[in-house]
Amino acid sequence: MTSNVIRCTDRVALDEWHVLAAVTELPVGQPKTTRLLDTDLTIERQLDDTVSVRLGATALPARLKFGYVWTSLGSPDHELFDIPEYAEADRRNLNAASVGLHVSAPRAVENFLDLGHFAFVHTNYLGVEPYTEIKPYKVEITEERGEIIATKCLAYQPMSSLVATEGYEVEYLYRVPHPYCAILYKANAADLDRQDVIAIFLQPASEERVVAHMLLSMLDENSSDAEMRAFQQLIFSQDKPILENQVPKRLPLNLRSELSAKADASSSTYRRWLADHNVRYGTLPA
Amino acid sequence: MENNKGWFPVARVEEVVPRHVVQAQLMGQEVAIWRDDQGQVNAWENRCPHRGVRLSIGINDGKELRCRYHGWHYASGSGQCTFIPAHPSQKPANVIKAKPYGVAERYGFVWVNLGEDADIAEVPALGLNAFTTLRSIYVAAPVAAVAGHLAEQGFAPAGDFILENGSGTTLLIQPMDSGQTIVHGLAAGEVDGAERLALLRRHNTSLTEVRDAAERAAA
Amino acid sequence: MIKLYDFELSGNCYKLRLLMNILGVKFERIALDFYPGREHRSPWFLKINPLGQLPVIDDDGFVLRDAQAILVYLAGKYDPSGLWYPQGAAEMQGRIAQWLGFADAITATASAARLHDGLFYDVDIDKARAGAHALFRVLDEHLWFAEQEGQDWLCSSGHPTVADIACFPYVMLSEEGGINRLPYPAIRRWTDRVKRIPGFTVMPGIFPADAVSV
Repeated sequence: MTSNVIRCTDRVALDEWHVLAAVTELPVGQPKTTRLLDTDLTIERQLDDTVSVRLGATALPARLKFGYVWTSLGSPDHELFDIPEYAEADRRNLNAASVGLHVSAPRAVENFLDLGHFAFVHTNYLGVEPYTEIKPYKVEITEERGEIIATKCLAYQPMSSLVATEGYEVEYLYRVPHPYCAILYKANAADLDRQDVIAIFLQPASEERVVAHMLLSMLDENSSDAEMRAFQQLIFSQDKPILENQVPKRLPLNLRSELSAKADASSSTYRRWLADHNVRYGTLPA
Repeated sequence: MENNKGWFPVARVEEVVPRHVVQAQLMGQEVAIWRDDQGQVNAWENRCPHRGVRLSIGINDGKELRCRYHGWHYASGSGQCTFIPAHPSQKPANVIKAKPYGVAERYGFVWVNLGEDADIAEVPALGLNAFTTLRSIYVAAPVAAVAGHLAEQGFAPAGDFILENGSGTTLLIQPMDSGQTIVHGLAAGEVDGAERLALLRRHNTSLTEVRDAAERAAA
Repeated sequence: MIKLYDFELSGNCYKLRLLMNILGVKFERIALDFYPGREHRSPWFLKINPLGQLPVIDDDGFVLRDAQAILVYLAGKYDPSGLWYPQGAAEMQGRIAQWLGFADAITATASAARLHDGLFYDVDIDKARAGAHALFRVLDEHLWFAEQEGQDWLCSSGHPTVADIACFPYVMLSEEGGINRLPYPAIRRWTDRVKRIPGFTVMPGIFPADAVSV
């Protein structure tokens, strides 16, 4: 059911910023329709690279950040989160892909945070049997912005990125700064003091459908944009049949609906966090 | 009149082949059906209790069913989780198990009962000693509509979700959900070879006509 | 070495990667930026294939487009067993051609639905899905009766042919276009059999039949 009237009643979702498109994928001067929270919006990129967002005839706020256009159907009391690394001079910043997926945004966030599936879903890339053990890692909520941070997440990866020449134990840091966005930081294979950044920004088209926009903010002097995108598209396409075969599509916030193991610490924290923030769109209440 | 007491056929026995998982649906509930290498058949809620991924896309390794997402292993019979790859040296908590439904093999079909206290003794008795199972026909129409069109072909109720045409064919109705139905069939007597193939084709043709009529009406 | 103009997520390109893997034929993948770059519509590629479509192969100067045509060529040239595309057997070649045509119809429906749902291609989605279901019904019935006669494959009893390879990918990826295979149990058994062909390899979105480890 699509509409120019806002039907979504979840105040938390309405008063949040949501991603709509990668600016470089918008043809100049050609209005494009896209769906957010069951509402059809029109976006149009101008010659000067500004982007307008409209609901029917009404202009909506438009923010350009990380190479994407973001909007809100309500009145956010905060600005969009930051990713300081994005501004570094030697970063390669690009949208890997914007892909439609038949699943809720929270399920997609959880999959992004998940470590235990690497050997089974991304076999010979991000993981391989028998190196399946997930050692305990740390999850906390930050004081400053109330974001979820998971640290010391370790996984043995045969081919963790395009520049990896051999398998090694990779350390990840995960950050959830928004109900439908997640960011991962992994030590760059060539410069272990700095991190590659990969983010997933979910556009909740409906409670059970999303557009997944994937930001790459990488330190890589050698790979082409197309090569970097291709690798991320490959990884994401491996997750697709898993996400589209999860039942129910919405994320259950009752911690007893689905059973967790210790390796699921991020997921359990995320579910509690969504419940604490009263996020109803895309979830099943506790 | 035979009361099916919640028992429904969901697949032909010979179609639950080794190292495969059948995806079925009964009254809105998806069921994963699989056979271990010893021949024991399982009918489980089609959802891994961990993160809800369908078990029907999982791996039947002949002894256990492995979920495709995180590789959790579930034992044939009990559904007990026996191994969690993320914690390989720990025994999974007893509470972690796939949910088995009542299951039986009768008259060449796998029967499933979604109820809590399913009693195998209550699988409908069809009074058939020799029979040939026919091709199961999927119809995108509600049970009542299908039954109505079957009535036009001479099939009259002989029990809950059981119809007979008086000339040796018994139909067993599996309601998938409010808009989808599967019609399983049995012909009395055991037939072989060319005669059997001819029977299968005839039945398939006539049930396909019923399907098409029911779907046109439902559209 | 054969050059394959390729896109990782294309089911049509995967048909050739799959058959070449099964036959043990070495090939070099030339990756095109299909999305978002639309490189398959770029001037340099249109010189290679004026239809602007993948896959294309270049076998030491012999250039061929169209996944089904390439399957026929590869089987003819590189299959010493002669089983993947039997030569000099008119009925068998006719059957194979019939199912290669069917594979094209699967592309026009199931693959179109997948591109619509995943990459927002402008497709009549209801028509594409209905079209795919109509084809899957025919396929399921064909495979069911084949099984009743002891046949595991689309065209022959003992061995798969290029017809099985041609029909497999977009059937297997159909759920990405909202086409579920629950009503087609014979198709589901057949896809498991295809996955067990020695030399089978996956593409993103398709899982192997068995666990790699014990």
